[in-house]
Amino acid sequence: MTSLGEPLPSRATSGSRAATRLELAPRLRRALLIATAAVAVLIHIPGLRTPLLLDDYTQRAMAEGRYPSPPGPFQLYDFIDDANRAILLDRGILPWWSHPKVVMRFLRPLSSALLWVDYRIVGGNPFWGHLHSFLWWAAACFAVHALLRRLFTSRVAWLGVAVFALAPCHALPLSWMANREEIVSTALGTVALTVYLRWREERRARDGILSLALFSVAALAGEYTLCFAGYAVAAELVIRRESIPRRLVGLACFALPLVGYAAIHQALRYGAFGIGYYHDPIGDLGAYAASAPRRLGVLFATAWLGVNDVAWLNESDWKIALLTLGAAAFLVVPVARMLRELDAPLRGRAVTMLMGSVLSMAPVMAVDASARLLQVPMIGVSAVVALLVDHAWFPATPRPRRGAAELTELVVLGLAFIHFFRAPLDTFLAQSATRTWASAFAARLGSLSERADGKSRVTILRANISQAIFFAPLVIEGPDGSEARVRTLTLRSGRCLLRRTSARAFELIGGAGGLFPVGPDDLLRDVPIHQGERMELDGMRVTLLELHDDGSAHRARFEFDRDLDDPSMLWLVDGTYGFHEQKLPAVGYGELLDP
Amino acid sequence: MTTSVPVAATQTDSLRSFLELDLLDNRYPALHGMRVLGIVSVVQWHVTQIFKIYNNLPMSQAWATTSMSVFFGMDMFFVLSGFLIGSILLRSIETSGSQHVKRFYLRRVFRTFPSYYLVLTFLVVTTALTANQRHNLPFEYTYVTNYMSNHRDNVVMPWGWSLALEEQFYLVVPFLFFALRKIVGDVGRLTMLVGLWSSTFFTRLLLYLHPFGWGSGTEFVDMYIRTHTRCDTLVAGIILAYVHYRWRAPITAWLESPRARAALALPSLACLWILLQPTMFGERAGRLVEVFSWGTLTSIMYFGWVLLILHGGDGWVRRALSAPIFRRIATLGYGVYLVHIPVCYALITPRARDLVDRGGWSMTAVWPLSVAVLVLASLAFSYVLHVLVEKPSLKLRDRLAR
Repeated sequence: MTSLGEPLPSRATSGSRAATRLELAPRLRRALLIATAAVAVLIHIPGLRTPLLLDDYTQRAMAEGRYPSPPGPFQLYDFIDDANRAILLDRGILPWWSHPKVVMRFLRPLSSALLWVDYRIVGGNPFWGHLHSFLWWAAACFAVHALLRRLFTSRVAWLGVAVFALAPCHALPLSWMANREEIVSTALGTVALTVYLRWREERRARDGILSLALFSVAALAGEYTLCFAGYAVAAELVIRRESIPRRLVGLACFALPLVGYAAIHQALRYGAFGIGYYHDPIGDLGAYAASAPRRLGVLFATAWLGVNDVAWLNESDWKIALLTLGAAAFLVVPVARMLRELDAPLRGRAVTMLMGSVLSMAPVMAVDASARLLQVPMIGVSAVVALLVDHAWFPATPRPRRGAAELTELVVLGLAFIHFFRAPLDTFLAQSATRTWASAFAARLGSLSERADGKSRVTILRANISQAIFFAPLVIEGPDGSEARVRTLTLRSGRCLLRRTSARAFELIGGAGGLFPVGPDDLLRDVPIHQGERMELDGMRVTLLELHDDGSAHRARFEFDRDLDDPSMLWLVDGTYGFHEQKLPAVGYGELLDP
Repeated sequence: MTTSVPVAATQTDSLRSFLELDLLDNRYPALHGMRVLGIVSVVQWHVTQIFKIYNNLPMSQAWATTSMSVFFGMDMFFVLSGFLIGSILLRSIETSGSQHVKRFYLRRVFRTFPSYYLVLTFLVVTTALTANQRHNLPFEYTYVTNYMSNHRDNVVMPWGWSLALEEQFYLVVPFLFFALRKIVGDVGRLTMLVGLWSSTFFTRLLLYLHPFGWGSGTEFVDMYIRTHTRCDTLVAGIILAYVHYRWRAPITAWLESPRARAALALPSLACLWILLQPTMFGERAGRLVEVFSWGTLTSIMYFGWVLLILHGGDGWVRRALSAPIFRRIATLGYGVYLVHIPVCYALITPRARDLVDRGGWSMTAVWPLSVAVLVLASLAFSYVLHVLVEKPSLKLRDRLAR
């Protein structure tokens, strides 16, 4: 006996340890779910305090009737079409270099109506709108838990819903009201999928009809519901001993509403055109297919390994290919081992979730890869991660720790770290960063509004972010509350020279990057611009005088219908800390516009 | 003929005996692998510092930032040092009921002093000292470098701060154990140790909130190298030794479960992630993150890793870290610590500059090559130091401090 005590013996050995239970005790399950919900709410709280963000400004203006040719309650996602394009160009909501036939309108009547109600009831206070989004998100989490509970054990369901609820894919949709349509689609689609899988397993006709009805409602929320097709197709592929016609009938419950949606979409000419950001798979299959592998790679690695979607978006093809293969290689042994040890029905469900998580990415490959697009794929990812954790950490019988078993343990440890620690931290940081950005942007618009209110013509010589172009005209009022004309002449042009050529005209000469971005992936214009091209707008004419070798605009002339020193005109430049007024030089002189 | 064979054999044996390593104790073989990882991380950090900051070689900023975010190899040496010292004292108390303080101090002195003094004196003799370096020499010889301004214009061995910190801690460790023995019960002892451990964090926090200006005025010096702001990692090692000593068997049994291993590994992974991404909380939070990172997070991280390595079963990681080569390298670790920076300045940096400026080599190739060559060169110098200085001194130690 020493004065610091002796080493204590072990109280239990592995042999005496009770066998691991498959199901959680009800009280424990409740406690775990409450704790998970508490953490999930906590990490999303910054989203509640986020000001309006991006399209929110447009949709609020639409709901308040301040948008050109105000759309109805079901059309808040009809941003640009043939009817309003010219007015948008004239008001400056679209810049002068936009694609001449640009279209951006999405068929999301239910999501649109929900936003319209928000803006009509609570006006400009975004808190209530975010709270509304939170309720849909909570519904989506409940629905995912119900789905997983139906397919797997209570422990897997809890682990799965934790992975889903803490995932960064919810961060942006919860702080950006315009993106709520994804949450609504996810919530309704998950309920529909649960009923659909019940129908396919239990073959009750009323479930089939109910799933058809639910998918129809989900489709009204938006095209994001298409992602659930991945799970439906996976389920039909995995179901055994079914004839092909029966499988097709099975798929009909899901396919009919979507075919109907697609038909309306085409008939009413919904979709996007002229915008590099969206590659409409129906309207432009080639462009969609060309960008799909890159986008799939980034989405896959983001969903499973939590890689930084933004950072990877601009990486080279081979790096993305390596990332995708690396992610797949990381998962293959543990997933194969887990599937092998599950009994047949559970294995089928697990494979459905796994295949569905990949197939459900196909529709969202129409846009640049982003974590926010992963809500539906995350349902399958959550299920498989939960199964892997359950399989590795709660083995029915102790396993020897060698070879593949050890590799599985290490991979599952990595996955648990990614989804239970990194994901909530990333979510919280993403929410905070979005709030900070949105607040800064709101302040920037506020400073613009302060400087420009009362002026009939506001010209932004250089904008630093494209969002300033779309939303600035919506916050500036002209004299006596009339509409001001806000025009943006260049975007991200770096250091450029303004040379006054006459009382009513000047030239802008850009640096290496050109006067504004163009190219196949650009948000505003996905086709080249040509030397000598002219654009006539009310009160302004632009002539493109010179191009760089890479096709970007080097020099352009801007002619106006009045003297540029007229007091009704205001000239602004977007700087690091907001907009500042720019005095134009005298005729024959130039002025450098510093970034 | 009959007599010459044994003579030759004896000569060969004595030469072999002279040249062979006096290997470190092998009670915890996997810890040798950890030490080697620590050596590499410290060396690569200094290569980046010397290349990028002091010599302005064209390393990318992103690479330099990533490299210098792996600063915590030094903290591992602190934790392992605390653990081994704690274990030695606990064993001593267990077997004889006494700490044998004199023996403890003698062993520390013979282990660390001779090589340090030799390298320090060699540098003093062979380099042109600044007035400040000359003025501060007595402090360097008395192991208080970490209370100087550790800029290289002020001290001959700026990296000696960590050795000074350890020596100061060794000085008080027997008193800590004396206090522990006065406390009855595990809860009381652990409360005291955890209190001591967290007091260091609160000291850093206090300095962060109220920079008193009593030091050199720079946060790094005031927080990163002082004993009162950095000894938490050493205390964490003592806690680890105590936990290991008292609950060895229950912990081993607990860690037979994969979820128990995960429960221990996840916080360590979380700490590692935060340490590697110091800017994730934003630029403004960067300083505050350092208050947590410089000791608290590293302690938690290594606490988990070491427990897993000691008790988590015979997994891949443990087997890999226990490779015999690591024991040999770890044996030379102290020498590498002492010589790698002068070697980098004298041998590596000029060659690296030549390769970049004249050879047109990319830093993507030069940097890893430099790290590898520096490790090898330092090991070679360290081996000479080991054979000529450390081994005789350890022999003497064994004779005097049985």
